[in-house]
Amino acid sequence: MKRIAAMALTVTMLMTSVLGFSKPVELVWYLPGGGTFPYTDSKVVYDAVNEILAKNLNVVIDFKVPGAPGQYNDLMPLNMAAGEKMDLIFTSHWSNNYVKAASNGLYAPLDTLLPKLAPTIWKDTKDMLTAAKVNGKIYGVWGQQIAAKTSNLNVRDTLISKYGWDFAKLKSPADIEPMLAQVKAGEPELIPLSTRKPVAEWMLPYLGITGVGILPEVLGTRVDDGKVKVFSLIDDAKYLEMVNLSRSWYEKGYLAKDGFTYSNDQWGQMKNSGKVAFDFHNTWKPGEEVTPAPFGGMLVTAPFGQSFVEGLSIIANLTAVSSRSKNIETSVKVMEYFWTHPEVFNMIVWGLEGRHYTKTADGKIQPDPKAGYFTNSAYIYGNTFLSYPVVGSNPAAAKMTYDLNQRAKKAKTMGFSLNLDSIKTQVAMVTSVKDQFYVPVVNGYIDPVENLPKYRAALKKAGIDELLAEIQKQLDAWAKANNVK
Amino acid sequence: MELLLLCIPVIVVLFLFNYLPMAGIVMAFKDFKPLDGIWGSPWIGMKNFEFFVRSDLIWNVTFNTVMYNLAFILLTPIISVGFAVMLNETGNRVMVKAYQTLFFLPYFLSWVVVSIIFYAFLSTENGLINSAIAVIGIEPVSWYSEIGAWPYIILFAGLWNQIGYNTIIYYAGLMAIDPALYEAAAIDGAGRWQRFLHVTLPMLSNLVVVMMILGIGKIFFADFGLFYQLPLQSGTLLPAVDVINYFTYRALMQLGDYGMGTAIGLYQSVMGLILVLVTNWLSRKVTKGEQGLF
Amino acid sequence: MIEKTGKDVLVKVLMHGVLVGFALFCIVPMLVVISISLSDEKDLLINGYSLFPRIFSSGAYDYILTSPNALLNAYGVTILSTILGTVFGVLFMSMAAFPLSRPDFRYKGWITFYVFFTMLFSGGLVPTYLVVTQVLQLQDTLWVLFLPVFISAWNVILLISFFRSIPFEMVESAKIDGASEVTIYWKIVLPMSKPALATVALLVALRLWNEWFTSMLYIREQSLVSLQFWMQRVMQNMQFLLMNQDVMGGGAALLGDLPNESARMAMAVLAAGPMMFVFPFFQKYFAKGLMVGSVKG
Repeated sequence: MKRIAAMALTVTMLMTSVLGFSKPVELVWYLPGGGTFPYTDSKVVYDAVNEILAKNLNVVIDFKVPGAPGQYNDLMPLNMAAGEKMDLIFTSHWSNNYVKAASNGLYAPLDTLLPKLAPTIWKDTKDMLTAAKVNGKIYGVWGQQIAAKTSNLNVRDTLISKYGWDFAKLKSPADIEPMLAQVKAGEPELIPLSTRKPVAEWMLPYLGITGVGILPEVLGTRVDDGKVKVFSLIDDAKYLEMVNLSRSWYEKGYLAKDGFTYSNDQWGQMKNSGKVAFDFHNTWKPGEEVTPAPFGGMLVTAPFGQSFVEGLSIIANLTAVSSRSKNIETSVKVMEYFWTHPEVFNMIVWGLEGRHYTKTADGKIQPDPKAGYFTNSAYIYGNTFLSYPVVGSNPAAAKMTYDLNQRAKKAKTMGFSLNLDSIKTQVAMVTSVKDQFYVPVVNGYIDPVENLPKYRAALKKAGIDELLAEIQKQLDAWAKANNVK
Repeated sequence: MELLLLCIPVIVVLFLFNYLPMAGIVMAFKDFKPLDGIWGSPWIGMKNFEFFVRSDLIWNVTFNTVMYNLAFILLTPIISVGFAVMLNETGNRVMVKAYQTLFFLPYFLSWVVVSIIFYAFLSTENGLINSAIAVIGIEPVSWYSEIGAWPYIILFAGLWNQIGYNTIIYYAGLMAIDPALYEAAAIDGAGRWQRFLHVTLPMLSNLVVVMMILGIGKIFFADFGLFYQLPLQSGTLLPAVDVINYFTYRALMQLGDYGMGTAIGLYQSVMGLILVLVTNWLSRKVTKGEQGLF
Repeated sequence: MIEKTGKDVLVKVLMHGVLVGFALFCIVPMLVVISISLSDEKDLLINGYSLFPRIFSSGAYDYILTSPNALLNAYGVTILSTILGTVFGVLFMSMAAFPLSRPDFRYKGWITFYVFFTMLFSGGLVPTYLVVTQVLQLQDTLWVLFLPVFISAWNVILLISFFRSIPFEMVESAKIDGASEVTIYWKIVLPMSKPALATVALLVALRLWNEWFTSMLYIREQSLVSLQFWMQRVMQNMQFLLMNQDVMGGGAALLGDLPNESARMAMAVLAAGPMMFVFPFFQKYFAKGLMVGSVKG
């Protein structure tokens, strides 16, 4: 009798595992919450997503959004240090630092798993993923979006038609000076040029300068430089041209006098409300040159100069798998699933059709930000090219973006990751100096003639030479090992 | 003893939430690696303190922290006691309640909100102050670049924020003074001012001394929100408004290094402890054991 | 009887003058906050702030109240944790302050130092997080919203100071009469210290009411977050969208109505508002004259 019972038990267990009647595997996915409130429908959406996942993959996901969006960067290192259970983790250079966590062994290497378990992801992004290499291994999946950096100019269409500007001939930032003068004279309530970031910073793609992974406001390397030499930005002649340009524009009144006190979101709002006439940017999205602006009107984008892809473009949005996860392979499979199944991907990004967005006749969607689920951040969830186009956007843009990414040149430093252990002190000290001088000087708010020498001297005292030497050493070693020319 | 039992809840709570975590102070001397945890991470001696010690800015930053706090420690009791006494003297219960409620309003506003209000006054283009001085023909000042003004602005904002809070405390202290003492003094012919000097002040002195010593313990700590939010992160103002907490926060933003953060916290704590012990000892010596914390 | 003289009146007028002056400094900013919260967002962006709304709009409040349930929930959670934390906080802290104010308590010095030490020294974020989540398992509970913060060395020391003003003779005479320490604490010390207790209760209540850090660190269950944290999240969600609009593409056009500046102020009003009503409740304990006749009794 006992033996029959034992056999029956074994058979049942075999059957349940083989036929998949066992409980679905539970994964935990940590993401920054981004999106308007009310976020009240998140449970409804997650349940709907999990229904599909449970049926097709035998997986359910516990989507964890820790704290408010700005707190993700504070909470994730803490949660990881405390060993909280996690499988999928959003990580980047601007929140929850990817390189740091990867170097500390917190993420699982995906080099062998991706080709095997996520063939579509691998095929689509394998070239770009070289930028996500830390010590030779890939630790994250890139959420495929615009990667190429191109300096560009944003303007309101109403101003263009009023003054009859033609941007086809735009070759360099100085070309807009006469237009700035016209705005200053003719539109007294507007701020001619936004200084959310200094002109020099937006012009880095135009100048062909990329970074080394830290202190992007201080250090740079040339995109084309096979010798990958790192230098201090304020020692570069062309960079200084931009600084002086900003200063002359400040003196002519084209910059907001208190601009350095406005926060990022305030600039965003001013742009939305049309209070700002011109705004530079460093990411041009092909196919989206004319987009509807909030508060009405259209925003026109005019790119100029070269396009290139740099390491930070890829490290801008990665999803990693925790090295301590018990479900590494399943996690990778889940990422592949989201990458290739528009229904479930759009569900997690936009919510439920009819409830959170409506579909229009031509296949676009009109989301309702007030309906209870509006993230508007497909890049956090994965393959943005899979997202349904929103009304007012160009459906061909995804393909054009992909093509631009492919044909843009790749910065020579892609794939290099910096080890900070021996230079932590200098990084901290240089950061302090940067905080004091960067915004006022590079934006032109205070006289560069007087203050650039002060800035340089302070950097020297903070150990920038040691910093440059150590970084160069690591760059040279990496270039040699990877045959970079 | 029964008295000991009365202390138990506080002892237990502080043990759980303050003393247990204190073991983690060792992180100040370790190169914290998340996978190894606090105990498994390697020791690196004093290396975490290096960036703070080597940086030129540490002197300026420490000086700022200590000087601002000293100003607050001295000025807050003077003004708050003054207000508490004035409230007491006006005698009208309704007015007192109204004043106390109003004085407390600044404490409710977060520094983010306060910095926006200050901006309304200090903004270069439309600010109320610049508009006012324009009327008398003075050129507009770019306040957020004007280093010289900021120690006063910070002092004003810090005091404005704390005074309501402290006034309530000293007012409660006044409530505890036996009115018979005042009557006796009045009978002896003491006027208002003399009653204040010879009754009020001595009776309040213990409270004031305790508050000051507590303030001195925190002299190396800064109210982060005040120094971070109010100057709207204007780099030019840093030499005047940079304090230890803010400096550490910025320096470590790129690095996210817990060990270095803990190290500086330890430095602030140890310095504070030394100062408190010294001040307490001095206070006891000068007042012959009367005034002090312990 | 303390006489009124002409000089007396002048002094009173001056004092009122100073008090009114400072009161203005306190109330004008609050008025500006209320004004901005009721202003049209677009007008704020173009024309800046002003003392009275140029273009009136309830947009900020509408936005926040789109989901009244979540807001009410946060209010409820915060009220509950504030009450619990204040009642138990004042109880426990006064229980400890009483022995520590007594000259005859043998362990006074040691325990006072034990308490005071926590004011200066802290293990830091990571160790505290580990203790609360792994050792004490308090995450996603109501308790974690106040337990880590409701006992503070500062308030204990403040209470010690207040209790010291109670004459020791009273305690001694009660002991001679055979009263236990607890009885003395409960029947003599507490009733005599109403202003002090009310003050500390107010301070603890305010602290707990404004508490958001514990919600950020330890709460994932959305129905348990505190009011201040909830508001921060609403603000940051808005800011996130505004900052990232370049990355978001077509969706940017939908952001037009976000009442960023006005909502920030509206939230300040909604957070501070309730406390204004609670204030008078505490104030009635700030009464004089409890010491009268005490020594003779």
